Amino acid sequence: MMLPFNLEPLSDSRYFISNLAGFHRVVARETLELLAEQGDGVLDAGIKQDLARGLFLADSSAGEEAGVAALASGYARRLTRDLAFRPTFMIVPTLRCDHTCRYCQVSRAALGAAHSDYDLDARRIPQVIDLIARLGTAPYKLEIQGGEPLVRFDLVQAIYDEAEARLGATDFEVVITTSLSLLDDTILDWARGRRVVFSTSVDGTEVVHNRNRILPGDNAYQRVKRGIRAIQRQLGPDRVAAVTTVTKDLLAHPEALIEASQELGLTELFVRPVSPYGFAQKSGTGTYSFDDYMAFYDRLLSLIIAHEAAGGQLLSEYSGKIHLQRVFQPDFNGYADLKSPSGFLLDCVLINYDGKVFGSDEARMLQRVNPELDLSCGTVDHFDPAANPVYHKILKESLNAVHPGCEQCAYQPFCGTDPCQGISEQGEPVGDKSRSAFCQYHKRMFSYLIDRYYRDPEARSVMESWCHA
Amino acid sequence: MRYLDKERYSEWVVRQALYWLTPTTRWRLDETENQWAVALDDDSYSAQAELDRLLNDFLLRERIGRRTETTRSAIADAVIRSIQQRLSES
Ligand code: SF4
Ligand code: SF4
Repeated sequence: MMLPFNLEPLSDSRYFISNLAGFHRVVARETLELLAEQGDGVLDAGIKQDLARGLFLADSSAGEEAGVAALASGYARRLTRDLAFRPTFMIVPTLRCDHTCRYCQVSRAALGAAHSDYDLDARRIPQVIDLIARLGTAPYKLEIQGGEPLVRFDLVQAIYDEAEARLGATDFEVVITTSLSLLDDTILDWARGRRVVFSTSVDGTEVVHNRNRILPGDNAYQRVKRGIRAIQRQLGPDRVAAVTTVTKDLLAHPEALIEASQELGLTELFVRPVSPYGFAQKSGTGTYSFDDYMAFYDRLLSLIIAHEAAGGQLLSEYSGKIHLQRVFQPDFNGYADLKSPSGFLLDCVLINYDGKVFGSDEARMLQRVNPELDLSCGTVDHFDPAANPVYHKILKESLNAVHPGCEQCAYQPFCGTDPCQGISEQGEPVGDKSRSAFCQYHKRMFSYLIDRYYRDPEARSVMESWCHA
Repeated sequence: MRYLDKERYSEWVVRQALYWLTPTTRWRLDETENQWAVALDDDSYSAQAELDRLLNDFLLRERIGRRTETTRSAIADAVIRSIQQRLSES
């Protein structure tokens, strides 16, 4: 007896199938044809047993009712797990920045702009931490964003001190998202004994990086290189991580990224396409197709495999890793984009420099480019998501299982939704998935990774070490 | 113009396939009594091949879906019961 499942074709004649409980299998087209034509009675015993174990067929001894109950309970388990409210608290101490990156995703304010217009008022910090204490539970995750947060290192320190006093000295961790251009000994000394890690951007080798990440009058790459080295040396290698925005300049040169990571002593890459938010669209640097991006990703993965085969240290790639973990590790839900209900508000509460609060980083970016919309859920002193009908609409429609397009998609149990991207591209949170950049990107990533995992033993072993590292 | 027999291709299959064809090409759907008439802006071999692939996959989905129709609604009811139970326990 067949139980419901969805299917997506892979690059050969095989299909990826999955069900609501989040189980998956890769099967031959003939198996599906047989099932569709004659039901499961004609299947080979081994295949039948395996499909029954994954709840694609009801176990004949236990009957259909038991199969339905098991699928339903698996789905309910996934939903309640993704529904948990466990946000990262993002704080933007300033929008001012010393860089003028071509694709700036968050928009920025000039370094010399008035502090009163673009910096968090220090008197608000107790309120910020109070809101975090009321909404979150230990261990709290705080992420300091910008602009360039180290422009106001004094505010970063004040946020940390207040968190220590109010949340408990060992009950929180702070990630500072920074270009590292302003890192100095004072900051390193301060970070040494504290629960602080740095997240920075490396977009390739010096030439590629500097073409996009512009530090007027200085060399952005040399600055980030110096910063990463200093953190690794003085604080330890696990205190700094790097994210790569794949620009058109990098697209043809994935080897530049491997070279840069070697030079910088980084063992984890985190590559992402240029964001569709902020000013990226206007500058023209984001104009490449997802096919181009996947061709880049394919070459990058092959280079990582070759690097390891030649005796180099294993390099992992975080975007690939989270897609794989969603598929292969049923309890993994640590990435806001790949969750249903979406991670909007459930995974992120962003407190902006002006005291406004948003349900995601994307919401504040969208707000900045669409000042006529209100995408906030109140302010630090009056947090109230229920007061904004946009929040009600987004949260109500954040379950991808009922989105047209996702309903039939085999990646749906592992995928998510990005309501802000939907609003940005199509004017509403659900949108037409066939035209959605979110869908095009994640669908390609899932099918590429799964296809290669089941087709290429070398790739599989590298991917497995990413997931288990 | 591509003509598809209504006896072989249901409206669901044709509309689903065209939905996912949108990134490849713009299209228009008309019908006669017995056929769907699909006009593609990009009539190239690769666009036609993509349409064939999509039609083929949605036919398979439809046939499999038919065999599990009743189970789907039984699952929806069971999911709601199970979530209510989980939420009342937590
Ligand atoms: S460093 Fe960040 S905030 Fe500053 S211009 Fe570049 S992307 Fe924008
Ligand atoms: S967004 Fe796209 S890839 Fe993700 S579940 Fe929906 S249809 Fe599938």
